[in-house]
Amino acid sequence: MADLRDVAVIGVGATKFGENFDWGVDDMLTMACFEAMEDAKIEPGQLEAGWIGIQYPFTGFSGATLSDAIKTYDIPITHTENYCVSGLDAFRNACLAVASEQFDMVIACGVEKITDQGGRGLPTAGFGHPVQMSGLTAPSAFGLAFPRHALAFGTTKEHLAHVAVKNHFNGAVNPKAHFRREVTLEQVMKAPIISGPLGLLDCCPISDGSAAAIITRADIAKKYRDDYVTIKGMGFATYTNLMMYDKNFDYLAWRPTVKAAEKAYAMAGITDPPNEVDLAECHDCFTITEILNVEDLGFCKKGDGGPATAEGRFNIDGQVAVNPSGGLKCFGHPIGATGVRMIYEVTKQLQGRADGRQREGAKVGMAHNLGGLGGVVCGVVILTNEK
Amino acid sequence: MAGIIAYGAYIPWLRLERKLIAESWGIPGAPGEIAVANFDEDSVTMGVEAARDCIQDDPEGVGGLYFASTTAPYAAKSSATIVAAVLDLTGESATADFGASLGSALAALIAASEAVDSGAASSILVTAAECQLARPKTADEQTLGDGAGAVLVGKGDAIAEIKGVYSSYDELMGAWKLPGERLTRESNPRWYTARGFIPDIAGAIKEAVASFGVAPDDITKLAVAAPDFRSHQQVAKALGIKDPAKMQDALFAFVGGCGAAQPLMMLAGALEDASPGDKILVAGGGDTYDVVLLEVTDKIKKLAPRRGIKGYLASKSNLDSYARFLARKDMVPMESEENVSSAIQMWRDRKSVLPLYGKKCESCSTVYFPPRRVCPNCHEYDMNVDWKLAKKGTLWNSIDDNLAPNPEPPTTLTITDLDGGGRIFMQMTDREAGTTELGMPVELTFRIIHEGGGFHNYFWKTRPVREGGMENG
Repeated sequence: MADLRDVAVIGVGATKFGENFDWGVDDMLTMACFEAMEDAKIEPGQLEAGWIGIQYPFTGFSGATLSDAIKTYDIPITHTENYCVSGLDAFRNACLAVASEQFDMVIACGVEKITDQGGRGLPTAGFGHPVQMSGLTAPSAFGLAFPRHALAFGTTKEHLAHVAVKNHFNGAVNPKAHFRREVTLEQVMKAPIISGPLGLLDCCPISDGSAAAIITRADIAKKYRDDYVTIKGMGFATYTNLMMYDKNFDYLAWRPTVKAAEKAYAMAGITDPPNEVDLAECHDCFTITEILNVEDLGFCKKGDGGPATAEGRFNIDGQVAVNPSGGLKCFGHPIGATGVRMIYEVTKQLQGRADGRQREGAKVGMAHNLGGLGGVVCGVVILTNEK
Repeated sequence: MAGIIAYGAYIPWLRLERKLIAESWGIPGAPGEIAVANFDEDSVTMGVEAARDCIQDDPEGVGGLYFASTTAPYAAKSSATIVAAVLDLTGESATADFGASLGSALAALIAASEAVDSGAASSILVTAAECQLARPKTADEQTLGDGAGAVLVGKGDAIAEIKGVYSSYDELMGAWKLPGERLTRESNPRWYTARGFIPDIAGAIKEAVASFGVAPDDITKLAVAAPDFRSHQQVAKALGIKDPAKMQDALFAFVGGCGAAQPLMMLAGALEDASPGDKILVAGGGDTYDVVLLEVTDKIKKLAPRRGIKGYLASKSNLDSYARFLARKDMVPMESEENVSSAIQMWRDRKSVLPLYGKKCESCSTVYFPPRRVCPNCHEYDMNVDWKLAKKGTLWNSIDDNLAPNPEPPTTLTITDLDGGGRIFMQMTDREAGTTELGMPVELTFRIIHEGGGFHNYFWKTRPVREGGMENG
C-alpha cells in the first residue's frame, strides 16, 4: 500500500462562483470536472472512481449526481455529506482510496446550488430538533463566539472588519470570485447588521459553484505533469452538533480546527506553523470564524487573531497568506464545493499559477474547512510542491 | 367544603396605551393601557404562567388540572393536558377543558370544588386564560386585554374556604363566534348590558347572597367580572354598593377585560390584599352565571410570596405603535418561516420539551440537556437518571440575530447556565433588544416556537427576570 504522502493532485477545475442563475447543478459540475480533466490531460474514461461533496438534498442525492453530469457510468461514485466540509471530505476519501492502491486515477468534486432556494442566508429548516434549536442561524451559531472571545481577549468589531478588508483585497483580482471589489474598513463597520457583531460584509455571500480535482499517485503523476502537488499532512475531526449545551465548550476556539490541525501537523512534521506554512485557504464563512481559526491553526497566539490580522500578518505578503483567493468572503460558500475549491486554490498557488494573487515562493499550502452550525467538523489538508 | 390553597396570575409583559389605538383611527380614546400577548403567547402559554405562579413550579400533590378559556388554541384537542404536562402533573391527574362561555372559569372552579368534596380528586388546579381578538376600531378593541389567573382548589390549609356556590343562566345573543371565526360578533351592546348582563349578574348575586345566609354588608369584597368598565360600575349601582372600595378592581384600567380569565384574575387580586376573616364574593359570566363566596383564613399569612396581579402588573414594556399591536394580534400578515415538525417526535420527546427534563449522569454528576444515552462530559453509556431542570439561571452567552425570519427582529439567542446544573440553548423573549448582558439572571417561560406540522410547537424560552412580587399577609 502506498502512503497518503504519495498521493498527488494533477488537475483542478472550478466554475465562476456567484449567483449562477443560468447554470444548474449539472452545468456547474460538468464545467468544473472537465476543466480539471483538461488540466490533468486525462479523459473521463480514465476515471476509476469518484467522490462528490453535496450538503443539501435540493442540490442532489447520491453519486449519480456526478455520473449524470460527466457520464462516468459503471464506476463507484460516493456522495459525501459532512456539513461545510462535504467537499474536502470527498477529497479525503479520494486520497485514501488512491493511497490504498485500490484505484490509480480518481476524481473528487463538490457542488452546491443555493440560489434556487432563495437568497436569505442558508436554508436551515429541518436542521436539528423541531423546537429545541429553533432560531439558530449560521451567522448566529458562529457569532456566538464573539461575546466570549471579546470578554476573554478584547477582540473588537474592528478586528473582524480587518478580515473582510484583507480577503476582499485578495478576491478583487480573482476572476472566479463572486465578489471582486475591495472594501474599506469603514464600509465593513457600517454595513447593516446581520447577527450580533456581524454586518453584511462580515458574512460570506450566498453563492453557487462547483470545483473538482483529479487525484493519482505521485509515480503516475509524473507522466502527466512536473508541477503536480502532493499531500504533506491531513487531519479531520468531528465534535458535536450540541456545543451550545456543552459546559466544557468555551467558544474561544473551534475545537475541531484545533484537533484536525494537530493531526495534520503531526503527519506533515510541522512544528512551527507560521514559519512552515506559506499560505492557507482558511474557513472564513464569517469574519469571527477566521479570527478563531488562525489562532487554532497556530498562525498566532490564542487571543491574538484580531490584532495579528489588523497588523497585516495574514496579508498575501504577510507571515502566512490567509485566504489568498479571497476566501469564502469573496467566493461565497456553495457548501459541497468549498473544500474542493480550496484544493483548487492551494494547488494553483503551489504551481505558481495564481495569477495576480500569487504568494511568492509558496512551497506549503493548507486547505482548512470548518463546518456545522458553529465548529462541528473540520478538515485540514496540507499540500506541497516539494518533491 | 373545599377551599383555595393558593392563587396565581399572569399579565403579559407588553402593553399598549389606548390612546395609540384612538390616534390611529381618529376616534375617542379611553385612558389607560391594555395588556398584549406577545407573538409567542397564547391562552395555553399564559395559563401555564398563571398556574406556575400558583403552585410555584411544585406539582407535588396536585391532583388535576382544569383549563378554562374561550380562546383555547385548539378547537378540538385538550389544552388542559398541555398545561398539565408542562407542570409535570402525574398521568393519573384529572384534566378537563372548559370553554365557550365567559363564565367557564367559575364553572371550572365549582367543578373542581365538587371533585375535591366528593373525594374524586385530592386537589385541582384551575387555570383560566384569555387572548381575545377584537374587531379593529370597535370599543372592544380598547377594552379587551390578555391575561390569566389560577387557583389551586383543595382541602386543608386553605387560604380561603368556599362557603357557598350559586349558578344561573340566561339565553340571549350578546357576543358570539361561529366555528372557525377569529373575530367576535356582537349584537347591540347597550341592549345586551342593560337587559342581559347587568340584571342577570346583579340578580344572581342577590339570590346567591340570600341563599348563603350572609348579610350583604358582611361581604368584604365583591369581585365581579364584567364585559367593560361601564357595565362593571353599573353592576355596583344595581347592587346598591356605595363604597367603591368594596368592589374589587376589574383591571380595566391597565390590563383590559380578560374574558373568561377575569374572575380568577380578580380573585387573585382580592386575595393579594385579603386579611383573615374577609368574605370575598366572586361572580362572573355572560350567558352562564356563577357566584362563589369565600372566607379567608389565617393561612393566607403563610402563603409563599408570588408575583400575582401586582407583580406582573409592575413589570412591562409599552408598544410604541398600534401597528406592532396589530401584528401581535395576527391582524397583519408578517414574515414567517416554513417549519418542520413531527407529532411523533414531539410525543417521544414530551418529557424534555414540556416539563423540561434533562439527564443527570450517575457517574460524574453532570446535568445535561438534551437528554442523551451517553454523558457528554464523562462519556459513560446509560448511566443517567431523568433530571428536571430549574426554570431560572444565569445568562452565559447571547447574540441578537437579524437573519432568522421573525416578525420583529432581532431574534435573541441565549445560552444559559441553569441553577442546579445544565447549560441550555434557547431563544429569549420579552426583552428589549440589545439589553442582554452576560451574567444577568434569567428565567424560563413556556412559549410557542412555531406552527410546523400544522400544530402548535411549544418549548421554553429565556427572559429577563420579570421584576416585581409581593409579600403576603
